[in-house]
Amino acid sequence: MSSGIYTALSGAVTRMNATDVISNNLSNINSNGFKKQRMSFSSVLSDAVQNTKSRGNNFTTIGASRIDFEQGAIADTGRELDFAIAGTGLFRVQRGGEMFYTRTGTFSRTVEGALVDNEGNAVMSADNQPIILPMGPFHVDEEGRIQTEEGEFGRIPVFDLPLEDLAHDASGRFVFNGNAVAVVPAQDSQILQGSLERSNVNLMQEAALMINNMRSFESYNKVMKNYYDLNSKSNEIATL
Amino acid sequence: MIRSLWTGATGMDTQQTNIDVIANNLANVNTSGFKKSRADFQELLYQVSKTPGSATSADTISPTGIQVGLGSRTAAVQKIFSVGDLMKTDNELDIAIEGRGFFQVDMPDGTTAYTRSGTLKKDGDGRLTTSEGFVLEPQIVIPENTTSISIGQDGTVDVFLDGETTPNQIGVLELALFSNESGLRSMGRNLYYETDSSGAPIIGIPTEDGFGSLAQGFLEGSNVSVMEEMVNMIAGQRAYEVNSKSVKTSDEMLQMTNNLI
Repeated sequence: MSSGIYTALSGAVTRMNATDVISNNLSNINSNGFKKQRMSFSSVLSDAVQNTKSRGNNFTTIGASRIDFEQGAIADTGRELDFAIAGTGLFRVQRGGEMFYTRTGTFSRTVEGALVDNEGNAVMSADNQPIILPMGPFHVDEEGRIQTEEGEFGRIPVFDLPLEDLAHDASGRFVFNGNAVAVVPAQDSQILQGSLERSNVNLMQEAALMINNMRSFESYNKVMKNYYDLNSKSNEIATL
Repeated sequence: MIRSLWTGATGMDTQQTNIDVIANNLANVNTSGFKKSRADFQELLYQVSKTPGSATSADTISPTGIQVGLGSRTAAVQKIFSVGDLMKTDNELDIAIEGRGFFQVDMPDGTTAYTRSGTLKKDGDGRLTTSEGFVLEPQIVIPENTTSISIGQDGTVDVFLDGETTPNQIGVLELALFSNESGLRSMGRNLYYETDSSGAPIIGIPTEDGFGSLAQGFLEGSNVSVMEEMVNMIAGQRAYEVNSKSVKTSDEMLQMTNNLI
C-alpha cells in the first residue's frame, strides 16, 4: 500500500493543530495585552533522505510556535491603575520568587500600597523591589515616573529583552529563558496611564486563516478518501 | 480529540461573562452613586508539546518550542471607582462626594457598610438615613422645628430653627477612605463592605487629604458611559460570534473525518 495516505494524514493533523492555535487567538480577542500565536510547519524528511527512500513522499509536522509581539490597539479606560505600553518592552511581575513579564497593565493597589497585577503579584521596580504607590493623588508620566505634588515618588519600569527567549507560562504571562544580562530598561517606550493595550488579534486575519486551514484539511481528507477508493478497487480486482 | 472545540467554548464562556457585566452596567446607568464594573480576561493555560530550548540536534536547540494555548478565562471583574458626573438636584438632603471618600452606614445587623450614594432622607426620629432607611454613622439628628439644613463642604451640618436667624451646628458628616477601594465587596443596593484586600477604613472629615469635599444639592450620577458600554457590547458580541465559529469549524472538521469511513 502506498505511503501517500500517511502524507495526507500528516497534513490533516497539522492543520488540526493550526486550528487549535487560531481558536486560542480568537478566544483571547478581548484579553488585554494578549499576543497572538502562530505555528510554522516543516517537512519531516530532509531532501537527501527523501530522494533515496520515500518515492517523493514527505510528511509535514509542526516545526515551532512563536509569539507575535505586534503592538495591540491602545484603548482609553480612564482607570487610574490601568497602564498600556506604547512601543517595545514589558512589565516585570514577581510570583513566588520567580519573575514574569507581561504587557497586561490592569494593576491594583494592595492595602500596603503596593502595585500588583490582577492576580496579586507584585509589579517590580528596576532594582527588583515591589513598587509602593503614594497614598494621595498621583499621576504617572510617559516615562513611568510616579509624580505627586511633593515630587517624584518612584518609577514603573519597562524592560526590553530578546523576544524570542520569551515563552508562555501556564497562565498567560511570559517567562524569560534567556540570559538575564540581555534584560535592559526600554528606552523609547511610553507608559500610558488610564489606557490598556487590547489584544493584537485581528479578527479578519484569523477568520481568513481559519477558512484556509479548514479548506486544506478538507483537501487532505479528499486525498485520503481517494486512496481508500483506490484500495477498494484493487480489492475488487482481487475478488474477480 | 480536537482541542479547538473546547478552546472556542472557553471563548464563548468569557464573552458571555463580558456581556453579563456590560448589561449590569447599562441597567444601572441612572443609578446615582453606581460604579461600573469591568471584566478582565486572560489566557487559560498552555500545553507544551516541545519545550523551548529543547535539543533539536547535537548542537542546536529549539528557539521557541511548540506551545498551544487552550483558551481564555475571566481573570477579574473589578469595580471602577472613577467619579461620576455631578447632577444638580437642589434637594437639601442630596449630597455628592467630590473625591474618594464613602459615607458610613449602620446596618441593622450591627455591621458597617459604605456607600457613595448621597440620596439622604430623614427617618421618624429625625436621623439622617440612606434612601433605604439605614442610619448614617455618625448619627446626625435633625431637630423637628428645623426650617432649613445647610451642609458645608467640610461636612458640618448647620440647621436653622424656626424663628431663629443664626445657624446651629448639630454635627459633622464623616467619610471613610480605603487604600484599595476596588477590593471592597459589593453588596448590591449601592452598598459595599470592607474586605482584607480593601483594607480597614480610614475615617476622616471631608476636605481632608484624599477624602474629597461634599456638595449639597448635588447627586453623583453613575459613572457608566452608555457609548462606551455599547461599543464594548458590540465587541463582546462579535467575539462571542467568532468563537462560536471556531466551535463550528472544529465540528465540521470532525464531521469530514467521520465521513471518510
